[in-house]
Amino acid sequence: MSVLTLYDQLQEQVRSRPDKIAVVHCQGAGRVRRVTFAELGGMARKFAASLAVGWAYSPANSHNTKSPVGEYAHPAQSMGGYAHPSVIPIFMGKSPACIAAMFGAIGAGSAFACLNRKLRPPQINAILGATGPGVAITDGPGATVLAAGLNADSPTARMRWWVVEDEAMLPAQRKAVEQMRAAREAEYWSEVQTQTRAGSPCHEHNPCRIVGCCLFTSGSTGRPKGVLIAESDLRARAAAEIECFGITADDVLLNVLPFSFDVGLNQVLTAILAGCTIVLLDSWLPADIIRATGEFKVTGISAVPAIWSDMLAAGLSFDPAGAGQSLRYLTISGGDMAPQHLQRMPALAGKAGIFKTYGQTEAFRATSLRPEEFAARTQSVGRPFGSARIYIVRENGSRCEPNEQGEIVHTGLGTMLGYLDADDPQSKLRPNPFRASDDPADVAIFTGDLGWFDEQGYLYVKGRRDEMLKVAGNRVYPQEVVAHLLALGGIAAAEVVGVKSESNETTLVAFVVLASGAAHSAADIRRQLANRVSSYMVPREVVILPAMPRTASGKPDRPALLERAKVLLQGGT
Amino acid sequence: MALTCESLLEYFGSRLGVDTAGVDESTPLFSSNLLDSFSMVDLIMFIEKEGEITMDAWDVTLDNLDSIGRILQLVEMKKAG
Repeated sequence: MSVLTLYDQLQEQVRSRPDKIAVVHCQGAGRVRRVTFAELGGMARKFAASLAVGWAYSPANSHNTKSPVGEYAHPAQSMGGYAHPSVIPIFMGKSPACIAAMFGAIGAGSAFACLNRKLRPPQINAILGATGPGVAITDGPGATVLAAGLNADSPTARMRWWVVEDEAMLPAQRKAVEQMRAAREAEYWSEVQTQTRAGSPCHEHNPCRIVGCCLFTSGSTGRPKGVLIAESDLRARAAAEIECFGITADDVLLNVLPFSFDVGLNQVLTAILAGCTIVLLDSWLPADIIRATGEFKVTGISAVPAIWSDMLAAGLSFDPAGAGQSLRYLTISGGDMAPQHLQRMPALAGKAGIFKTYGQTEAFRATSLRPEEFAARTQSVGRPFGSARIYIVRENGSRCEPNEQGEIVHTGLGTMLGYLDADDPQSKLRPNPFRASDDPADVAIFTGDLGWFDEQGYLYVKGRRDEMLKVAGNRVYPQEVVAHLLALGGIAAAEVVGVKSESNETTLVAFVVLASGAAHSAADIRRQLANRVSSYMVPREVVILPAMPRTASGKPDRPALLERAKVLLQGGT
Repeated sequence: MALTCESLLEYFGSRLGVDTAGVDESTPLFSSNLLDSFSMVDLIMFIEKEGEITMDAWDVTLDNLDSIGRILQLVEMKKAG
């Protein structure tokens, strides 16, 4: 039986529904662009053909091409004898061309790596240093960032950049592209020579064995970690999402998350494989999300807790008789949501069902809590998803009993192949200690998260093992303190970090965003909290912020808060 | 001080550290990646203070804030309304 890759499946959609709208792109300032499956598939075909030829540009034949993942060979190695890496970095905003480039890379037998467009030159250089020289794809806004950080020795300068044009390109963006062209580092994609090839080039390889994409996360050391995911696993993840959320070709999914983040990426792959329409919205503003839902008759939204918390704080919701009429489901993915906010989610969702999901970049979507289970088990993240398996493991490696807390270990669907840097010392990947006839997976991901199963097999996540703090000899999880802060009322968002002193004493610092109309002082908040919790759980300092800093994926930027807390405790401002 | 194209440009340059060369009333601000979403909260506070208006959650949209022209249009509309 022949296997259809993601690229092949897009071309199947072109044959079966050429004129259906695949992508609705909200470009800002009221401009909307609609692209059919035929147009999207055509763009992907051109990317696949030009990328297959584009390898000849690769300047560094001597680059180390050691395969990072054992039997998963770098797929294009055999093509023309060129030694080159197989990861195609894509540094551009969400757009139909970006999706086409992702599928085109797969069609050329390569892996794609979507880089978040909020990254700046030092981070981009660190990532490109890891992927090695070769072809990379960007757009006008991306070129301005790249040109600003360009110097001859940087990894950015060793890439061959293809710039996808847009009719709305600003003069400053064209100037940046000209600067890169002058240095012979870039060309417009429309000028790239393509060569028509029969069929998809990756048929020369076994599609079960190719790396599909590389997702970058910032490791705890701050160095980017490249997480490699098999093309076959990307397909399996999309198929599992289609089944879990009951997605059909009639659905219209709203995409608010970046493709550099596993939840956003999976949503777009799901939409293409299901043959439904995806609406790309580059805004997390509550009013924009609600308006787009009404305007495009959206049926499903995948989002992170911060997006929903903002909507709760703004007092907005999906009116079942209005903008929320078409909405069938929404997801709370990619992190913890405080109990106080979870309880208010059904009112926000209107008639839509709420799915909670849990996973990591290295171990995608391990579990899901279904809408009909939400009311009874609001705090749980549900049960294992698709063929994923979850174990709770003690320090000594044995399995925990129900209700006993241990490390969450994931096998099966959604596990990564490995890191781009095969020698990563902080690897979460280990041989599967529970391998048996009912769990044939070779590897397991030790997530570093702590949690437990209840007697019915529902998973509860306590927090990250390395986030557990010892304050004056007591165990404190930052999320527990956050929950108490939110329970005070008048607080829209809160984060708590622990700063360790040289004498290994931990001091808690809280950052809060007040709800509109609330006028607490930091002292009020500390006083009220002290009435509710033990004194060791009361943060030494409470800092009131206008907004919570977030990472590119929409999670609270805890490293930035920790830095700020350290400065504060040292007597700074 | 009233909110004008000039006062917004001055604010982008001095407060948000943006290179405003070539930025005019119609230049996209957020969709072009000139400003990032974290600047938005600060921008909204600036608009409310200098424009002497109060924005509600429905006013805070990308379409209303994505260019200087659109920001000024919103302020005018709020003042008239």
